Amino acid sequence: MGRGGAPLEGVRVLDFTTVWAGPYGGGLLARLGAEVIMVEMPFKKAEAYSKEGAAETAATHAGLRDFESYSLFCDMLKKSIKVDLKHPGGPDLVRQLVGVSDVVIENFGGPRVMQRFGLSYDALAAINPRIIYCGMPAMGMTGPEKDYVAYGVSIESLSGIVSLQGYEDAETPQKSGINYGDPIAGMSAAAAIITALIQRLRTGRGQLVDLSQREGTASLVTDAVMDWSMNRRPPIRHGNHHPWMCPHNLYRATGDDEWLVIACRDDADWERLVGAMGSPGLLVDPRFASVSERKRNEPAIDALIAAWVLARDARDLERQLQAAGVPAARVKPVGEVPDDPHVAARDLWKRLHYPHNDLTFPVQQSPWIFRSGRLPRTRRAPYRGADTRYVLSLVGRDNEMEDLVAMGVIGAPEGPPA
Amino acid sequence: MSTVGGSSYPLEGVRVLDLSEGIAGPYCTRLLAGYGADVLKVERPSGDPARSLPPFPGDVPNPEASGTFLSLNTAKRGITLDWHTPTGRDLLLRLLDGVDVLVESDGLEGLAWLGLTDDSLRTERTRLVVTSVTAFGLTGPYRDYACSEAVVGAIGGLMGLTGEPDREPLASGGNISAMGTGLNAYTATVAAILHQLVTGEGDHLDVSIFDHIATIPEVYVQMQVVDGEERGRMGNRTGATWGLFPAAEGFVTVACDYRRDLAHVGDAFGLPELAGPRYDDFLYGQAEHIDEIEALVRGALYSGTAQEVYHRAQAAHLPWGYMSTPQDLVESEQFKAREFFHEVDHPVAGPQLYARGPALMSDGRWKTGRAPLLGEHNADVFCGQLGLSAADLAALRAAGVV
Repeated sequence: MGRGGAPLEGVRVLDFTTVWAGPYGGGLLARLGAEVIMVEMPFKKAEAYSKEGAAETAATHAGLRDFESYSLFCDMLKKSIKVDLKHPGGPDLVRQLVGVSDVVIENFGGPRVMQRFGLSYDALAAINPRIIYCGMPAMGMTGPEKDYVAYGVSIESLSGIVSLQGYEDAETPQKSGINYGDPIAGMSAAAAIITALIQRLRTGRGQLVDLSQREGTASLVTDAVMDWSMNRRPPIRHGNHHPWMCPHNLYRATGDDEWLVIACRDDADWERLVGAMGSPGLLVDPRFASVSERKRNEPAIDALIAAWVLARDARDLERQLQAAGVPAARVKPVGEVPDDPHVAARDLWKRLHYPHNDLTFPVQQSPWIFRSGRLPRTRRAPYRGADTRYVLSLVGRDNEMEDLVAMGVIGAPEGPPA
Repeated sequence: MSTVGGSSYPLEGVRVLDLSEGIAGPYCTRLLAGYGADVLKVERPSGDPARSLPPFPGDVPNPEASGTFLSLNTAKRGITLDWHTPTGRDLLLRLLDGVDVLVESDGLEGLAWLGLTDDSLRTERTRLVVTSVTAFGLTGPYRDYACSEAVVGAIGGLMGLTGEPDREPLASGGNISAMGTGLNAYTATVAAILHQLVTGEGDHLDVSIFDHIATIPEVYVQMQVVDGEERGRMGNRTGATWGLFPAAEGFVTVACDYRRDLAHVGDAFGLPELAGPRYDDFLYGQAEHIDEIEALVRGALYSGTAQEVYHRAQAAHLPWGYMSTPQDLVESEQFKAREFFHEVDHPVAGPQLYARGPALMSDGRWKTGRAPLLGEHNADVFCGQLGLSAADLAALRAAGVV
């Protein structure tokens, strides 16, 4: 492999997104080497363009990035300028920047916001036909629900994922512990933008990428949709059991709130588990002779394993069972993930220090490894507006910086306290 | 094959050899094929094990009718080849000569068998993009760990966040970890393809289900740093005005952060008291009279079915959702208007519903083919492309290589 730069080196992205889904998408592009410039509001990131939100959020988030946790990991490796799109000079500056950029990404919740500022795809393509514009509203840029808005928690429900998970004995389905719709929508946006960059190599033209966050997330449950298509079957929630694996459950281990997952994919896994348990008699027990027999006698098999696990340490069992080839894992509290030995060996997380509040945050390095080593190393998110002079220099206006700040077109750069 | 949208396929001309099996790798190559790459799927002679995964029409198992397999392998061509035999390996290497991207899920051992080591990729096949999509990755202490959705959810931190605080942790539904990993692998692969097209350089991408699951919950880790409180099972109610709650029929996701959200709820559901001064201090689910607010908001949800509540809330600009089942997805007017699902016929499984790609691209088409039958393109590829005779192919078949 050669020694070239990062895969998206030379790609410039104007990132208007806020909160999680959009910034995560822009963050993936930055991790792949694109120059991602956050075009931030002069006051506060999220909510600032809503009618009532601006004053309120400016007041409640006076500490700015003191704790904008999403920003800590989504905005690593990005640059920042604060532009007031409501000032006539703001959209003018953006249009100039579009002339020297490759990608625009926004999640304003429908096409009308950027239209209002004269920054629709059509307007920007007239300035720069090579521009790739990714709008990522909740439901997409067309259709009867195009102006609907949603957070990741709603997107996950609307995608079908929630209908597939829940305790077996409860009528209520269960949402994920994270707002799964957010990262998936961001991943989908980054994927589509890079796809459009490839097409542009051949056509010389940019395009409009219309990413519905609901569609992006619903793409992950197409097997359940197929069950509807084939059998008109509503989703069945299996709890910690599994439709065709057995034994497959969560078992309490010794200690406070310690749990172990065991998931036998086939007879071979079952034999290995029985070996590890030191109970060879189970192999000749007719109740457990095949996966269908085991499934029929699931309460009995669960009781046997539960009794075995309860007296043992989940970490030890994870090691012991995995060494024997049995899929098993201790339920890891999320706070332990950055220090997990596999995470450390794969260099998936970094700890970054923020001097303004003297906190050190673990952040993900990237969700993939390029063995060439050509991905950039993580660095902390920029202070808001930290790259103002540089960004203005891209359109020859860096000498106007103080005037633009005074006029309110852009916000003053922030930095660590002296 | 029919198509959706656009003037051409974004990935036209990109040639992909797909050795991956299961879910994550094939979903990556399904996206490559859908956006127009020429994907040749290589299955072991007995078939990708995913052919045994449900659902099946009428619940009758059939390797040509697995709904999981069919939906993961649309628009690909397919051959069978036991590339773990010396003869099979030679044939595979001849196929590899003509491709831009190799996607595999065997890991370093399989690649070494093919002579694809770090050294040979650096010095010989310098242009090739190799995407390895595995459970735990190519390196690290867990690299040989056995995997399932629940195992990776547990070890990666996601399961510990899912479920009710007073109950046991809960596994994710479906195959979302593997599917999300396929999407992740696709993103990395197209980035590497772009780099290849611009510079002529290849790369070797190490993408794993573990890495996907162990990186996405990071905001919860960071919250712990800020407030020192351990994050455990979040439950359906993550706040007085946030979470998944019952409607008269079905379930609604509710999200109210600001004073104006309460006013919107009042407008939408005829509860003017929610806009009154008594709740002026409401912010992020906290207020002096939060119990009253929660009771009013939760009560409003019983005014109709989950879908009715959803549309009523959205008309008032509330970012709410409803728990959609697959049937709801298929019947959604919004999805219909955007043609998110389309019917594709299959000689064994019959006409079924498939999703298009995750984004609508104004200039980029989506290819809507069906999945290949087992070994469907053997003659095309081995005879047509590699120049074997019909007798050669019959001999390979007899030897169990194809």
